[in-house]
Amino acid sequence: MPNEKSSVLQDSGFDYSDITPIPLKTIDPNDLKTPALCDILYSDDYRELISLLRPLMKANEHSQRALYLTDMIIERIAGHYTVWSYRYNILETLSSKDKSNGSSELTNELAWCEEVALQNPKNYQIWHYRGLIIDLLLDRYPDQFDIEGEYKILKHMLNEDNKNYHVWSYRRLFVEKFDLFDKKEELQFVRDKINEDMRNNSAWNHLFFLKFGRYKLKLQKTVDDSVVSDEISFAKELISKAPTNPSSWNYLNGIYKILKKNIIELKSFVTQFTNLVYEDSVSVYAFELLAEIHVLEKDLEESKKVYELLAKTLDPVRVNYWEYKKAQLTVV
Amino acid sequence: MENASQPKQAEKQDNSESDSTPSSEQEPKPKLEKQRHISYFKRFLSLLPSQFESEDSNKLAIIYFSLCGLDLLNAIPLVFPNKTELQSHIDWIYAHSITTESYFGFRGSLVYEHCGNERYDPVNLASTCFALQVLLLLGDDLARVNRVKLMRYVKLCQNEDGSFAPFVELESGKKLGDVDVRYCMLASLCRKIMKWDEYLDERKGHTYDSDEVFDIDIDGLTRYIKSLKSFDGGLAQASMLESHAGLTYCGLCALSMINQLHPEEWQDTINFLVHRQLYYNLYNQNELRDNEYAELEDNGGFDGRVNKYADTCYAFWCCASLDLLGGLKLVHSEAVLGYLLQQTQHPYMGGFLKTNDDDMPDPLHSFLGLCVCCFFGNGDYGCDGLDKIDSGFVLSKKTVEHWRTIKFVDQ
Repeated sequence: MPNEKSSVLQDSGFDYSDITPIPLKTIDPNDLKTPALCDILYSDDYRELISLLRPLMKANEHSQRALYLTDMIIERIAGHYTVWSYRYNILETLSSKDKSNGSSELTNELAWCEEVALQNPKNYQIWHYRGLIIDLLLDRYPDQFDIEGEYKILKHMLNEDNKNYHVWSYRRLFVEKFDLFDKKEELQFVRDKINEDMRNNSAWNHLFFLKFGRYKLKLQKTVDDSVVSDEISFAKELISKAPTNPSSWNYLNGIYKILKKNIIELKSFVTQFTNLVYEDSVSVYAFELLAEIHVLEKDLEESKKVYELLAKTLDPVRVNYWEYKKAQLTVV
Repeated sequence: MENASQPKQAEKQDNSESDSTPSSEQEPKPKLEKQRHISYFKRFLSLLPSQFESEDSNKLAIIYFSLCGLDLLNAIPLVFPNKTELQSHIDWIYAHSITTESYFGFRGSLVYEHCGNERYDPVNLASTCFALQVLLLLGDDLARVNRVKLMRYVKLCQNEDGSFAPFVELESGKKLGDVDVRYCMLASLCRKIMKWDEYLDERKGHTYDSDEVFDIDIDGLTRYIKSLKSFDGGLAQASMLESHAGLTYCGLCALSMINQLHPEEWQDTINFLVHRQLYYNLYNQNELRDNEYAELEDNGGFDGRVNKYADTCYAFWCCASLDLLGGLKLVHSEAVLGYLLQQTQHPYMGGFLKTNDDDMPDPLHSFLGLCVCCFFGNGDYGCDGLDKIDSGFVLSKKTVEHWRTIKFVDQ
């Protein structure tokens, strides 16, 4: 747009003057009797960018200037669902093997992803997109992929927000893809995260994935006894440190559930946390587990008493749930 | 986080003195500010400043939240008394529709127009679902929706493993976008709104899997959703990821829409869901001291993941999930209403905040907060006179009634 006074693209270093823009309809200020629902008063910058993006997409132009434009769009509207596939398609062309700098297009792109992710930790599209670029890199220039670089960015992102769901999801995919279940650094990372904050449920979940993921995903038939006993001890140790932390209890329960182990063997451990004289070591989760242990012992009366205690005294916000559990006992 | 942990400790002492029941009788009960909520939702249905550009693709969702909010407040006739105005809004929603030779559906915003249907202006599952819900809210009879073409597209979005992609690049046939159980829900909802079970029933005896008589892979979808269940009973974004109340709702809703939700299979999920309601008292007061995410003000509210803050939207995702499983009565309704109306309802602007640390309400949290009020309809909290909500469609009972009367005419 050579004649526009202040184009948002004037410092881009690219020439867009040959493109015929497809502008967005403008709102007629004289006809506001029935404005459209949720009508956004677009800024001039946004209008200009969209008016150029549309013809470029329509022509499916794969060029550096198109790449630059998608960056500008993503910065303003990360939820634009096709600009991501357009950007990917552009990269696919620019990084083709017959191009001299094909591989650096992809490594630069990973750096770009990193920058976008750091600027906006809630941008969840970026992680899916990053996964696609890595696939492309592995397909075309496998020796250019730097797995340590991935560790660095993941570590950084999780230090910024140690419960960021998108980043943990990406990490999970990453572990599965490169079979990092037993990698020392991976285990150390997640143990450190838990030691840093033993209430970081995302970290507990990741540990569960590392330890029992291959079994659950049917990649292996059994879990080593030593792994099971180590993890049970780990959970018990952290429960003892903070008996009211649900994450460690869920972890312990999860191991028993997934391996179909008998929870009766937890009884002596659990009853350390059900003595009301010692308020500081009382845990509602211990009582909940105790009620289930009583059921397995076929002592429904005792189980009923526990649910009554939970409902009336220990955890009254779930009074209806504990009553429901109690009512179910008669059915068992 | 550091700052947040200081007031917590001060309040901890008060709490240990008080009795441990979630709602005390003496305090005056906070009330739902109905008029302010009406004004709040009205605002989003009009002109919005350019700061909303980033939400351009989610426009139909914002319309849905706001319009459905008004509908639950029984305020649509009040806000849109004029039939021709309603009609022009209906037309405007249809302006977002895309019809190709084989497919029909909606795009998220008119910014996608002129980018080429085959590649960059595809039908989007989320936009399609929101558009259909908005049309129902506006009283439209869906006569301009071609349900066979729409369902063809929904089917096209399904992956081998039973999950759904949000959209497909028609030229290459590539399924694009993040795979997520949200799209399972949106696909199932579209199918339900299209009355696809009835459609197939009417065509019994026809060859299955023809161009006209076909269905999504129901078994595959069911299997996929079940595979997302975590060891603690909640559902996650992928197998073995951390369970999350919002994603749990999406999975359960999808199953409910395809008649595959059997509560006896989800008892551990009920357990996960009821434990999302937060409550700090004498027996877990150490959390207020040691857990940086524990706050006394969150009492009664719901978190979405274990050891997180209460957030308005999770009150809805949990209550609605429990409702789908026949367990809404397991919730402590006064505690959650107390939390929402005292902590996250904006007393002047109307609407609900995401958490009590936020400053500005947003349409999603405002709508979902209101939905929770509709579940319980408790007059003591000013929640009487609201319409009931259907937990599967997430529409008012009266709009679901309107949907029931719709007869599709297939070409």
